[in-house]
Amino acid sequence: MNAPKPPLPVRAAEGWATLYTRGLPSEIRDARRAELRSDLWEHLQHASSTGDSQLRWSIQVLGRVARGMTADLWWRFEQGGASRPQTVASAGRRRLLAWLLDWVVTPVVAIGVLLSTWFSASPLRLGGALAVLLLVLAVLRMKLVGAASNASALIFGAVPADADPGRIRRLWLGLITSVLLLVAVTTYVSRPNSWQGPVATVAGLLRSLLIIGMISSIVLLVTEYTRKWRRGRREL
Amino acid sequence: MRRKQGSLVPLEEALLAAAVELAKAGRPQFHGFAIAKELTERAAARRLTAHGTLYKALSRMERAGLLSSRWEDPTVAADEGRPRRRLYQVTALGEQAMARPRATRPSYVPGRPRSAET
Repeated sequence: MNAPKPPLPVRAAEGWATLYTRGLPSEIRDARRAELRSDLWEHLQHASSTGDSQLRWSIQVLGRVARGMTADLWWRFEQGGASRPQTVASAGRRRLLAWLLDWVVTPVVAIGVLLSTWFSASPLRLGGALAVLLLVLAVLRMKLVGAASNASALIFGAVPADADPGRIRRLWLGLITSVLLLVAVTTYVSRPNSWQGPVATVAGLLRSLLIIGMISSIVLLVTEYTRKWRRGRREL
Repeated sequence: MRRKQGSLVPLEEALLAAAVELAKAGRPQFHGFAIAKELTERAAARRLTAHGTLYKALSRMERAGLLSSRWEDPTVAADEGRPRRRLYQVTALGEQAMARPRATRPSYVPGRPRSAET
């Protein structure tokens, strides 16, 4: 005979836990799910002992699930970061995700926005939108897959310093190059009558991309130095 | 809620205070739902702490060395016909932290338990 189905709020809570613990090492995943199962059981017993109605209990459980979702996701990211080096089984999936983000999603977004910019009356505004989109993608990528491959390091720069000791030097080089080129392009577009025609549009686009490159380099350098500083503190 | 790395948020302080009170009342070990219920009663609140908020806080406090936890004997849970409980207990460091006035409580770095005197 089949066991009776758990009540809907329990299934919802456990379903949500199954979702956000997916991909974690089994000991962390199972512990979290077991702890939640125990909590739900205790809650149900408490509701029965105090005479709470099924509806009231259901609302309470669903409310606890909904209000805790942000914390659950945050905990998930923390666990994902902590367990990343040990999860060999998920390494292939992460590599695939990284590849898709680097060579499919980001180029499609970038090309789409660049084409829109080309035909737009306000290239700077769309250039700004591209900067925001790329930064969002970079953050998403780091959260989802962690370290980047060397091939995409210039864009995302999430390679750990241990694995790539020349990375900080390259980031500085990229920043200095971006600044020099930006000065050159800005000098060009500030000349009288130069801010016209297709050449000027290309210059505007180039300037937007250089600004993106500069911002990215600064963010990545700050990240690298923060990482080094944290590692230094841990080793003390 | 944004907070300085290593500091306790109000929920964590309330959890620790409730856990210390439970220990004084002769219940040194508690499980997640029990402490959530205790918090609600102490604050005369209507809502129980959300699952995610509660277990994230407990996890962080355990990493900071303020709490310790163990899973209860499966036979006990099986005999009572319920899921196993994860039982938490306040550590000596947690008791020391709560014994201090709030303004002088030390900060804690998750994963690196340190002496309350440092």
